[in-house]
Order: sequence, then C-alpha cells, then structure tokens
Amino acid sequence: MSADLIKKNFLFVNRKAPYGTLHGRESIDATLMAAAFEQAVSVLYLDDGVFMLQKGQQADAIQSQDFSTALENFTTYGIQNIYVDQLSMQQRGLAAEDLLFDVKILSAEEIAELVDAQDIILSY
Amino acid sequence: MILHTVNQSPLQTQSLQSCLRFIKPGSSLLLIENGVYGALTNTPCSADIEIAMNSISVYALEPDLQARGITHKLLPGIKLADYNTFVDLAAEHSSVQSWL
Amino acid sequence: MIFSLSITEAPYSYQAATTAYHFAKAALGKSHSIYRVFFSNNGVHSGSALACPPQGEINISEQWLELAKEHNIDLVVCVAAALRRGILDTDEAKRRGKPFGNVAQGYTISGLGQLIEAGIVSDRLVTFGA
Repeated sequence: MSADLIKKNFLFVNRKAPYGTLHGRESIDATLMAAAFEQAVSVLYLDDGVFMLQKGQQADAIQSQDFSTALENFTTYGIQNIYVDQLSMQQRGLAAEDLLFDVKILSAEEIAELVDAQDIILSY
Repeated sequence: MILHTVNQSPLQTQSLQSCLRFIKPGSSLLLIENGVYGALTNTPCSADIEIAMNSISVYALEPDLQARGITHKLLPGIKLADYNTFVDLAAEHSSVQSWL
Repeated sequence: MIFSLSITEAPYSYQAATTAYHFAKAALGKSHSIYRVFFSNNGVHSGSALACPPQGEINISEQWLELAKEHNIDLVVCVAAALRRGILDTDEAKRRGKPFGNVAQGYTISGLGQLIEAGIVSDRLVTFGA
C-alpha cells in the first residue's frame, strides 16, 4: 500500500530544553512534516521539554532562531493534540498561563495511555 | 504494549526515572549503552528497578554490560539480551519508545 | 517485518550509530528487512565521505554503505540538518559556492518527509540517539 493511503498515529516526545541543543527545533520540523503528510499527530512535552513552551522567549539575545516562533506553526498545520506532563511542569515552576498556547495537561497514567495508542514514537 | 529503551546512565540523567513513571504493566524495558548501569545492584535507583520488575520485564543488553565490565554486578531478575533479543522485542511490542 | 531506523547522533561521539548498526545486522540476520535509515541532527555526520578513523577503529560510514548495498537499504541524510553541519552533495556545494561536496556516495540527501514516509510504510521505526 502506498504511503498516501495510510494514516498512522505519530507521537513526538520532547524532553530537552530549548536552545542548549537543537533537538527541540528539529523536533518541531519533523512534527510539522508529519502533519503535512496528514498523519494523526500528537506532541508531548515532559521533563525539560516543557520549557520549549515557555512564553517570552527572546532568542535573538543569543543569535539563535526562535523556537517559539516555529511552534506557532502548529496552529497553521492544525496540530491540536499538544500534551504536557503535569509533574514536569510542577517541578519546573510552570503554570498553564506561562505557556505559549493552550495545552492538555496530563497525569502520568494518562500519558501512559496516550503513548500506548501510538504507532510511531519519535523521541527528542 | 510498548518496548521502552533507555540509553543513559540513571546516575547521570533522569531518563530512566522518567521512563519508569510512564511505563505500563506488561511492557518491557531494555537498558542499552550507558543505560545498562541501571541494572546494577546497590545504586540509588536499584530499588526502583526492583519494584518495576514486579510488573514489567527488564532486560540489559549484554554486549554493553561486557564492554563496561559489569556483567557480574546485576540485580537479580534482570534478563540478559543480545541484539537478536533487541530485534525480537521490537517486533513483539507494538512500538518502541527510546528514552534518550 | 519492515524496520526503519532514525539516528540522531554523530558516530564516534555517541554509541547510537553503532548500536543502530548492530540492531540492523541482527534484524537482517533474522530475515526482517530494513527499509530506510534516516540520519538527522548530528547523525548526518555518518554520511561524510571524509571520516578517517584511526587504524583499528571501525569506519561506521563505510559499514552502513556495505550493509545498504547488500540489502538494498535507503540511507538518507536530512538536508536541513546536513546543510547546517556542512554535509553537502556536489550539486549543493556548487549552488552555494562551496569548494566541494563531501557526502559519501551511496547516501542520499533529502528532506524530513523521508523520515515520515519511513514511519508510514514500515512496521517499526526505532530511534537511536542521545
């Protein structure tokens, strides 16, 4: 069967903070590509990955491309299943109002169920 | 059920700790590369692995244990895997989640 | 079963590329097939034609090429990650006024769509990184 006809559940797991490495930025690109291929896309932020969603990033201070600008493309590409680990946020002093956009905040059990429903899990 | 792999030492990063938070009963955990240090006895994470083994299978990649000289220091219950086992586990589970 | 692999770290600096290679060999030995190996992030360095590891050390780039030739595996280097890190084919080097291209023959430089397509058509997509 050709790739055109298949729709799989893709989960992009982000665990690394932005800017210190480029993993988060390249994760965004891969996520957008999966949406462009009309796959069922979910994005999960946990551990330091939750910092990717911090409001008020000023990447030009370190002459870097802005991760948060790239994340705005999620809306354009219709990516709505954006999940964040509740404990990761609490441990890092983040509240929902600190984040760039609305997300679904999940418990560990809910995340385990989310992961179990995926066909492809890409980890960054 | 998912095959989870962890390739970082739990004494260095929290990848193993995070994995254990989300791993469902009946899943499998394969420790590879520096992740095999998670199979050691008498470390701060040994108790967590022992508890986890009540509900999941925990494997350690034997070539990585041998490279690091720690084959004789493992928690009872850790299953030894080679690359063939790694492939079999990936095939038998519905997907693979790599904790990097 | 059809496997594809995603490698996101550089050879030698991290064990990921070697672990992936051993996984691939084991899978092929068990009569599974490997559809594509996609190198992204620092993994693109596996596609360099210029690596000269010391004598006695394995040449990971060449090992992947041998495996790919024997088993018809698509070795793809992510174009965006490659350009950032200075891995170019000859045409791209000419276009950008660089003195030469350095991607090893047998590796294709292409976009992230190849990673997604690999996930769609394969039974399993396994990530090796750090």
